Amino acid sequence: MSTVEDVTAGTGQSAGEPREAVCHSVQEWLDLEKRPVPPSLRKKSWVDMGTADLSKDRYLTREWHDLEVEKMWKKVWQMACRADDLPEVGDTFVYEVAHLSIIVTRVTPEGPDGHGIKAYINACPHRGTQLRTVESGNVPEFRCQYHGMCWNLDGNFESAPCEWDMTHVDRSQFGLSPVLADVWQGFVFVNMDVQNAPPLLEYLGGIVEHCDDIARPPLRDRYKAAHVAKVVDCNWKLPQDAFIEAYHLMATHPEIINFTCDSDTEYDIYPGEPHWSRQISPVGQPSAHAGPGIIDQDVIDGFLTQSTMPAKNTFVDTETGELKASPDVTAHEVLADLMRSTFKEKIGFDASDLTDCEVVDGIGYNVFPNLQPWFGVSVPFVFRSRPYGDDPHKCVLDIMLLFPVPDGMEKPPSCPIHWLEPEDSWLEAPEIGEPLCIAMDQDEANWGPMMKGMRTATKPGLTLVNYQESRIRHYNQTLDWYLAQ
Amino acid sequence: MSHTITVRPGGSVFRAGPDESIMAAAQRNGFRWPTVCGGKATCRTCVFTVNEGAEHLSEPNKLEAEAMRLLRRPRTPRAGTAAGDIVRLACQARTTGDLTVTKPGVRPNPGATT
Repeated sequence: MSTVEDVTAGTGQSAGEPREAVCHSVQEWLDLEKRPVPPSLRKKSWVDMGTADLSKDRYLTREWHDLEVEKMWKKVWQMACRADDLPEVGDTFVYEVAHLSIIVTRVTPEGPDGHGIKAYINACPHRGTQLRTVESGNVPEFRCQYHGMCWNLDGNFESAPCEWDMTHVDRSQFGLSPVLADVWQGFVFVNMDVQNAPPLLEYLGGIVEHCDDIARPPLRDRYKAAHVAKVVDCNWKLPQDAFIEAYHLMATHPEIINFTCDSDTEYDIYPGEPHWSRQISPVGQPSAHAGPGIIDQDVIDGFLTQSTMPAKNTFVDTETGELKASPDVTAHEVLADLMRSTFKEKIGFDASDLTDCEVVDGIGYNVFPNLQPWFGVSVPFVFRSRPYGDDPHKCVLDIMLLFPVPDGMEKPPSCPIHWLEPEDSWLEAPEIGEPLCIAMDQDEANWGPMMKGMRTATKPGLTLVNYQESRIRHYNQTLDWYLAQ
Repeated sequence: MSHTITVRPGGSVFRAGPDESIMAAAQRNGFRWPTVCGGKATCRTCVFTVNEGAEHLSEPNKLEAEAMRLLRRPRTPRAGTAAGDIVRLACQARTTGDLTVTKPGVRPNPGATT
């Protein structure tokens, strides 16, 4: 970790000359904040999980995939959609993971009595046909396309042709098979383990408090401004691995290291918390790999031209050259002030109480097994990857952006999914911002060669770097625990 | 402004307003039109084939579009495609012009005066 003294020592700078960019650890930046710091940002934590190689089988084999389905995907809480994706009674969404298919539906309006959402196994109790074959829609009831048997939104059996032929069937026991459904921060989670699953909030653990503390405005109050999905040729864990470490930024995303700091990224693992972890990457300071001599103006100009930050790419129209570095203010502060004033000007969102960290840094969380919600208001990514069918070499990758609702406006409708074709560049989805599209193409360019390389490799395991890739080790150890049950 | 709906092969003829479904118009005029779900677009038994006047029909809503995809595999439109390839749900479709359609089983209700 660098300090102010480290960086400025020996540069021979004097007042008025361009200052070399200031580099700090996340906690050192927090020490300098002028606003109250949410306590959860201060909770730096790490757990030594050993240094063993990670077996490559987990990314490659059908046997490992089958175990994951039986022992993990059928047992864990997983995000199906946003509650806002189901605004009206009868709205349905089909959530699929591996070969499993679940109907999520709004049965009653959201209200004081609860979220009003239920989930069912997407299979007709008669002969097993999927009851819903399109991803989203609105239905008054669930009528099977094969023989026309019918269930109401509550999952209760309603009618069948020729009911005289069903006298042996107990109507009360002929409902749709339930799946647990609950909502946290506007995310609809489902769990197929109806008998044994813990309550959602118990499963989530301490991340609930972190989110209440850090995500301002709360994720539940934000709206889904973009949602892009694509079937990608790799195991579902590879995109996730890329989204929970910043170690790859230098080699994979060389344009962003002038203003995004991989090397001072903080990785937090908490004792007794198997289902989530976190990282915070300072934005507005260069990587240690950006080379000597990076000055604050390089940081600012790099940010303005190449940042993947969604709020910057949506709202900021400041051109390079219009925002000057100052000897008295760090680039980190300059960019934080830019984002605060932009939010105020463009959508009336008052970010004056938010720390610099909250308005510029990347604050990424991971919810086991496969959801990465980022809490900061400027970098409001939600990533998710999951197996596509039963091919361990394919996955579905989703990117969503959760933006604050502009002041004085009704919450905009939740954005429908924009499905890219497998061969498409992410540039076909400009709604997430061109620099993020480019970064996604850069990430995807690693995953095919990783799959091929791992299959050829004679070395049985992957050797992780110890600190910066610790979140990969963390969720894999949780995965191992599930598979051992 | 209402329009004339001619139903083959039974030869039923009735008028439909622009704001009512074909099935609702038929029932209002004393004709029976096959349905199980009663007009919720889930049973698809009200489906009819369009012979003439397809251009007058309303855009299918999402649920009707689902039914159409289940009943006919989508295919690239070709010149000369017979209008008879177009199937619609009578409980959802509305028309702004005269139609000739095929729907066996559409006929006056017993005792109804048409």
